[in-house]
Amino acid sequence: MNPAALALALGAALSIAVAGAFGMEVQIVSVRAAERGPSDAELQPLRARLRRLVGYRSFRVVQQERRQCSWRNTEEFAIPGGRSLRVLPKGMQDQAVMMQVRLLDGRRRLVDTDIRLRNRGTMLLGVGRQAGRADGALIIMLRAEAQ
Amino acid sequence: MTCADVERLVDAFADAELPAPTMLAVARHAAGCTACDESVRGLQALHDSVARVVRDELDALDLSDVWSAVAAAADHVDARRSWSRRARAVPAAVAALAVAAAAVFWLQGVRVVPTRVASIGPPLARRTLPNQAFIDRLAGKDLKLRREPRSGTTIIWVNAASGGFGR
Repeated sequence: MNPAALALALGAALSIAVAGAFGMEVQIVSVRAAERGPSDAELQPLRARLRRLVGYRSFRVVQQERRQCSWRNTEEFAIPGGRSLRVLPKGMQDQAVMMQVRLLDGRRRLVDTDIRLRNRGTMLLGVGRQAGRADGALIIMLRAEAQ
Repeated sequence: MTCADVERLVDAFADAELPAPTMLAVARHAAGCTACDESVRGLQALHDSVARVVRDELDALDLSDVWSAVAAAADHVDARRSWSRRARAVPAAVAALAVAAAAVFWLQGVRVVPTRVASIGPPLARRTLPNQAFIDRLAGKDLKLRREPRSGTTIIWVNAASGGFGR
């Protein structure tokens, strides 16, 4: 085999491997929303936006996790309350991260969606009854950043 | 009645324009006067000849298309009169409303042009909000989708019990 062609093929294979290894970073922050009570300092910048979106006044971080995900590999994140969030990064399109997101309650799919989220953007998933209920709500913040 | 009288009246006699007594007097004189009789007969022959020529010319005229053309012209005139009658029948308030509506429509049309031009701007990707998300598919039970307009933050809300917050 021609040495130049061999080097080219190895280079291409290495590039593909590197591209696969550097997928995207997913950050999941689980937040408890309540009608009354203090809010965490780190959520203060988001408090007004969250209040407009979900109607609650108090927001406290319950759990957070940051994980590196490779393209086309499903990652599962544990969510408070025995739930889980499965994220399948599919690729990039026009500066947006394409991914499949599933929120599961045991084996039951609460949400199953395909989204395109702007790179370094955040989207939310909320679980709860209408605002004003004493049991509050669970807010899941999903941030995706492609490498 | 003398020859001079007949000579003066002969044209009117040939055209039968004289009063009956005068016509009779001219005829009696011509019957007894050869010169006047020839003058009257010559003039009547000329009169008959002219009348025949005119009659022949009239008979030669083709008037078959005249009435269809007249009918078409009459319809056109009727139509114009009908529109003018309808316009006159519309109340002034309705006419004013129609004019105002036309003016508004025209102004809207003028305003549309810069809007279209403005839409030809930078690509959508450059104008997207920091948290802009597009939902290509969404499945689940009792879901609501909300979006915060300033940042484009999207939330998919599941109407279910929060399920507690312990690990």
